[in-house]
Amino acid sequence: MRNNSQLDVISIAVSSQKGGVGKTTVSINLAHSFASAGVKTLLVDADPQGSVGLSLTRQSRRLAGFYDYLANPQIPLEQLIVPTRLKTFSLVPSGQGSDYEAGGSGMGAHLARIKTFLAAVSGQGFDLCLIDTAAGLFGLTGDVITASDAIMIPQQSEPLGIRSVPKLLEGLNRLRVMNPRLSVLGVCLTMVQEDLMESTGAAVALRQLLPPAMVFQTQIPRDGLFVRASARGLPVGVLDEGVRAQAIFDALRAEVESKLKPNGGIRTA
Amino acid sequence: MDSIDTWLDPIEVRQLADRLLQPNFEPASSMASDGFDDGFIGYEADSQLPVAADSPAQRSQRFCDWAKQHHSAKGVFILDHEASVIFDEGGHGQFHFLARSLALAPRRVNASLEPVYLKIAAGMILQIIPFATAQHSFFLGLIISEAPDPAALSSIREAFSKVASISQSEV
Repeated sequence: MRNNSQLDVISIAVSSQKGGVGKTTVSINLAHSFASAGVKTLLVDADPQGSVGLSLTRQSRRLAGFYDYLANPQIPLEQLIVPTRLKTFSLVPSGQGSDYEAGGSGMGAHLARIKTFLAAVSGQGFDLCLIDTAAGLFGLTGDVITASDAIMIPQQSEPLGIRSVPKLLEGLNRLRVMNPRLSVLGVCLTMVQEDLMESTGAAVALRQLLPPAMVFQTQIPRDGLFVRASARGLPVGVLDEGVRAQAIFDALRAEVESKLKPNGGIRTA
Repeated sequence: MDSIDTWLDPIEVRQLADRLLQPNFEPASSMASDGFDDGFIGYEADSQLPVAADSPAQRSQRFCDWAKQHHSAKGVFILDHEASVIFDEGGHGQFHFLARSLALAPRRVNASLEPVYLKIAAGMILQIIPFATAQHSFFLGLIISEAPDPAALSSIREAFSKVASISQSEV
């Protein structure tokens, strides 16, 4: 067995209770790291704000995407996939999601369609599907998590973010009722500022609070390089000066791979 | 550190986290901790309603059949307080989390839970009726065409209380 859904693709939802914690940065650069390592990777933008698309494609608002797939059963996945210069790295933008921006739908409304989407992704030969979700664990995001094999949770390293952890864990426990085989890969600390006591203190507090297996060892620093990469529509590892940042995401990838191993791991192309 | 810890209950957080790390987390089995006790004596007036000799599954199924006949329910499910499935005859899994969340959403400290409903499709609503006893609480979900009036709600509560062996005074 390689995943929970018996598909050939492993799906990982990148989700958080709180917005603005670096989900999109983690999603883009982790997906790029996997793709660079030979894993055929599809990055899906399931956030109606379309941050992945805005980061990686200049015309993302004109492209059909994930939300169009949900709304229109006639749209095949092939029409949504945007290739990149890296052969193993493709993405699906969020699309024309305006109907969803006003508050979205109830939980369960899109579950069947998302499962169909993942089956189609598997059918296209992808090994890994990373899904960058909107903040919160309810509505469509809840459906994405319920349909996924695993979830990883970026968490901003600051006191307010840490205080939201109990709510996050409660929400995940409820979602696990609906998807008992959901593998919780853990919390990834983001925007860590080594020169700010409150930030490093929050990181230490989270590591003391949660079991070690629940927190990734790799931490994502707050770095202007990510803003520069986004401005140029690139993963940070593609920048000349991005070697160090790429190494961080490569380490995060290695951790994700080791956590997925008990479930059979990720196939490589 | 202290400024964070004062907001959190570390033991509760650790318990929640540990549960998430269990591989293949399984909710309670379909009939575990179902709240049916041995004191149930059946309901003689309506042969469709459960009787003492029934198993918990049979009692739930008979309640389901009763709700379909008397209230035109198109689907019935019963969850426990953690949203674990006690009974679901029609695969309404997509509504379980929603049902529990909706039922608990308006809850204030010491406030009783009230029935709520949500329109889920044209001409179809999800009616959620919370039940609670000293030992157990339940969320009864009914897929029906329109929200039941107070008399119908009372009738459903009465029938379900027979099923779950809950006296009306405890609800």
